[in-house]
Amino acid sequence: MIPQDLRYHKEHEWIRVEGQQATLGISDFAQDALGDVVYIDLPKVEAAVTANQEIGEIESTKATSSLYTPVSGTVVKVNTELQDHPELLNTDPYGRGWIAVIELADPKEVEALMTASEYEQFLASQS
Amino acid sequence: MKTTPLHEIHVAFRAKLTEFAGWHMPVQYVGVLAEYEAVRTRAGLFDVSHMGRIEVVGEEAVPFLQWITTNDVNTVDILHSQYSLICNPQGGIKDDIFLYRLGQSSFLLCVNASNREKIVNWLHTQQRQRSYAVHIHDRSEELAQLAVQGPQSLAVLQHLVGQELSSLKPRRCIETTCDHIPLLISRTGYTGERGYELYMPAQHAQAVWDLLIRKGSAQGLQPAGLGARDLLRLEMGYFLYGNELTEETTPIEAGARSLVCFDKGPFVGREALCLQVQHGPSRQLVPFILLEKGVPRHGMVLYRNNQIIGQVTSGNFSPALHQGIGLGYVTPDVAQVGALFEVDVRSRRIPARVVTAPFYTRKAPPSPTSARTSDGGSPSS
Repeated sequence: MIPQDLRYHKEHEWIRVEGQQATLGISDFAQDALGDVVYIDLPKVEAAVTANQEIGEIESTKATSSLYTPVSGTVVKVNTELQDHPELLNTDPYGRGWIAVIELADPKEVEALMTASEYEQFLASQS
Repeated sequence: MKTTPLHEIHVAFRAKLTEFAGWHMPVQYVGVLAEYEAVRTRAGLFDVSHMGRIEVVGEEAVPFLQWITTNDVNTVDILHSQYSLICNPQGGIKDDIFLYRLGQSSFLLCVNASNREKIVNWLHTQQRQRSYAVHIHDRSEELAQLAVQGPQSLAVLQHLVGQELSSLKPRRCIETTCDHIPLLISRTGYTGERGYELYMPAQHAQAVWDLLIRKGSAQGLQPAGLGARDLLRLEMGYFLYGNELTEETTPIEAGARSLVCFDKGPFVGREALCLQVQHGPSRQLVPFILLEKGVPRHGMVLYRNNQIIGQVTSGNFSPALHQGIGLGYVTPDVAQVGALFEVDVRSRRIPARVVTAPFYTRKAPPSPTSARTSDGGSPSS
């Protein structure tokens, strides 16, 4: 269930690093805990963001949750499909439910994030 | 945490459970929106056994309940029910209840889970102080309560009981049996759809649930949790005790003047409510929609011209309207339909407009043979 090639943040975001860019989304655990997502407030393209900063909000039928970025850099792309289809965050959190692409300011930050197996252990320790 | 007689079933159905008013209750089984959709288009099955069920019997049951509740008990025929309120002497709302008249002097009160003990104690205190010839029994543990709600609810229930149910009008109830299990079935609910509530001995609750699920699958019946229930009630503008209604809010402020019968004689809270009607309330509950994307939530502050004018009591995203909807108390100058204000959604001011409830209007039944009746404008919560 937990993709091996991604890195994970303690707030349950994931990133996929390709070159100097990282695609960001929320984990399957996060979408399951949130419940049905009805609306997402996406970060702005060109926004400068700092690791662990709140960059958006996710509204579900249950509650509002903050979206954090695990890495610093500049937002270069956001998934506008989510504006009309927020349910993609539930149905395909690691695929079409991606949220944003960030141009990394400091690629070394990635090393501090959890690997898939570390995240799996982290989830086990949470329950 | 307390559990209902259906707890094992919820676990077996892999429900997500949450604490609600001291009870371990299913918030969802497969997902809030899917369960919402089932109720709006087919049928949903809710365990509402956490609610309180209090029997009031005795020769002075009618005068006692006239004193306790705000609505006119005399207008309730046998095997009819009534939505009503219990107020404190200051006119604040102790609970919103459904009152079933089962006999000339025999009543069943369905009260909110969060208020059960408080109301049982209140009834006993009032009975003692004023020496009414009534007996008050808390039957909550002995009885279980299910709700079958949705356009297919009649077809689902008709599988279970021999009696013709299609003639059972809103607010009416019947006493019947299903597989020798005694059932009280009422045409009531908290969703805005055609629907029924079933009261049965707690030890038979699992059997009735299983039977409903098995026979109702043809109609698309599926279990639904508190998440869907809250969304469904909000789209109807129905109150949730603890949000819209509290000991500090009155029926006049909540726009529930129709539940208060001033002509019936004395009742708890009457003087205070009379005064408030004369002077006008200082705040009023209004339904509103957000005019931009966003979701209002309980506790958010309402502004007009940078002045605080009120607070959100309930809010969510409406699947029917595809926008944020809410209920909130505002100052009377902003309470007219069409009035504009702003909701502070985490430091963003989102424009909102006062509308009329319900937010959701039921679609006309598909076939001309099904009667176009209303299931009433008020809930049993």
